[in-house]
Amino acid sequence: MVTATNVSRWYGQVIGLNDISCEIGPGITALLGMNGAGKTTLIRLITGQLRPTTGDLRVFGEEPFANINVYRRLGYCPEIDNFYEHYTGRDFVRFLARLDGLSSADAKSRTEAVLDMVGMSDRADRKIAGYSKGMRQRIKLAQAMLHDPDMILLDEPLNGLDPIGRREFIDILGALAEQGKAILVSSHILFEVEQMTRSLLLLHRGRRLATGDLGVIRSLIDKHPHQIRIETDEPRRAAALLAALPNIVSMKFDRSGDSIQLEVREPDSFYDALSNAVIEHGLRIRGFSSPDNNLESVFKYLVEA
Amino acid sequence: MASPIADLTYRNYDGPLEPPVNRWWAIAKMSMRLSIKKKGFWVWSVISAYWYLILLAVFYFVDSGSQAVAASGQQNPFFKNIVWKDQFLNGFATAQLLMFVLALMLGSGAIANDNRANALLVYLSKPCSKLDYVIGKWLGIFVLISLVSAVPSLIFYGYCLLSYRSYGFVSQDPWLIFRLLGMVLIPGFFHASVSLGISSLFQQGRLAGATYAAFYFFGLFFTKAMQSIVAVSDMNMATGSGGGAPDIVKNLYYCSVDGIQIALAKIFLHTDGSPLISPPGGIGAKFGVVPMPSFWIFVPAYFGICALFMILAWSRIRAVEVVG
Repeated sequence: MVTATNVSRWYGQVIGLNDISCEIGPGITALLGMNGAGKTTLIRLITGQLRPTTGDLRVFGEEPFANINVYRRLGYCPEIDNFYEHYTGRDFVRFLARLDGLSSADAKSRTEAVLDMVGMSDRADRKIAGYSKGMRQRIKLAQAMLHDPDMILLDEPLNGLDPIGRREFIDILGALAEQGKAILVSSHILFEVEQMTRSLLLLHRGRRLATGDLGVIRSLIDKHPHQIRIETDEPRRAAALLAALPNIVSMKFDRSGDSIQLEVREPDSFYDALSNAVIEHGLRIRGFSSPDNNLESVFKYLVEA
Repeated sequence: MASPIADLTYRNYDGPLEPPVNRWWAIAKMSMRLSIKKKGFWVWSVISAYWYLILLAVFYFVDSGSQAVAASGQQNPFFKNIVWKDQFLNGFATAQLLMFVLALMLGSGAIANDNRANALLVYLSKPCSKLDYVIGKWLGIFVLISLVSAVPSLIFYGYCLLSYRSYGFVSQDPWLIFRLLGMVLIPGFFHASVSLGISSLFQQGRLAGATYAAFYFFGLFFTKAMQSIVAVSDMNMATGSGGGAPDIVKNLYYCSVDGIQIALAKIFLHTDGSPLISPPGGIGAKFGVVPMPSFWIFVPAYFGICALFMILAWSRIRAVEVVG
């Protein structure tokens, strides 16, 4: 749906995006990066509000800048939420439905449907000025879904939502993704992004740092061995058995004395060897986990690298 | 009966989407809806008709107090000497300040508040062009100010048409209604264009309003100064102690927000204007009355200024993000 080829965007002397090439297809893709990484710039390039300084950006096969054909297939939920405060939520969504091209009657019924979906039906007649952060986020999502777009771009959508709201939000996005829509979610909240998707686009200082599946990216980071924590009643015996394995980089005992921390390369072959140790040597293991096999660690490793 | 448990599942919209035209109308309607919800709009709209209310009261009492004249079959000299279209010009001119107040209320925040609220980020991500946005906002101001300008004029016209045909209300100028229909659009067109252009320069409606107010009152002061010079010159000429005001002063009188609109109103009505009571051509009738200006200078100037501010608004509009 989105194809960027060597896209750069300059703001005067400052570079916002530097030679980015990537593809974004159906499903949820997380757009990650620190402040100033270029996330919002990329979103605004895709939504056609900015034109790339160099490179070629295509959305649905067309250049998005000021392209109404592209706009009709995009839903945009910006980070800002200080919308027109005098509107009620219902008026605001309905007005935008009219801008989306729905007829008056359709705008009315569709407004009700999307307000229902985001759980705002009963509060939509209040002025936006009195809305909480979470309510504003829901209204923003509602307006982005109005015309049933093929692609929805969400800039920091989980900010301000309570845990139940986040769960509902993630469920809605999941349902949209299952329908084959492309959802691009920019976020700093790595934990929630991880619950949404395994597909990443990581930016850092305007450059693309990584793109693809979280697991694949993680496995490619050879510089940082995977951490594995094994809980067992016999940690020293376990250490003696596992130390012989070729993929072990380091191991240490926890202070509590009931677990060991390992650093390994090629975790898949390590897990095979661990299974053998359990079966052949009767090693008793209560549990094991991989504390760095998550988005936050990947993000940290990549950025620090 | 609806379930007490909310249905949060996603539902598709498979209805039609209208072609991306006429988005400006959705924006105009929403702007107007917001404006008419303001109490101030209604208060100032009613106040702006004050001159017509005074005229109606004067006409009513003159009518009532001259029953004896009417009984004798003679015409009331008060009504007999009135230049009818000049009364509309007076109504128009006296409402200028109030039209300006309305323009501040409706127009100064039209784009500035959207800039501040970052609403443009959302609007312009929809199938809606910058031109749709500008035209929609412009129309939202133009329609309301034009209605406020038109309603009292047309009511007064209707009242006079029913009551004073025998005093030449129709025969003085049979085309008056068409002239009026043109005249009532002047403030809406001008204020919508200028206030929108100024509003696009700011991110706060108040700052835009203050800038337009400074622009307005500086011009008003200038216009009043020119009018005083014209009045003094006219008096000197009447007493034989001097000549009339030079043409440049008469033209400079129209070089303000009010002035240029009054100039256009005079051109539309095809009159120099006159006070209410003074008989046409009588002694003192023309003191301080600045003659109708040149069509070829002021009509292009009026539309040029409007176009300039509209282009300014169009060029300034872009999706922005306010930091901090």
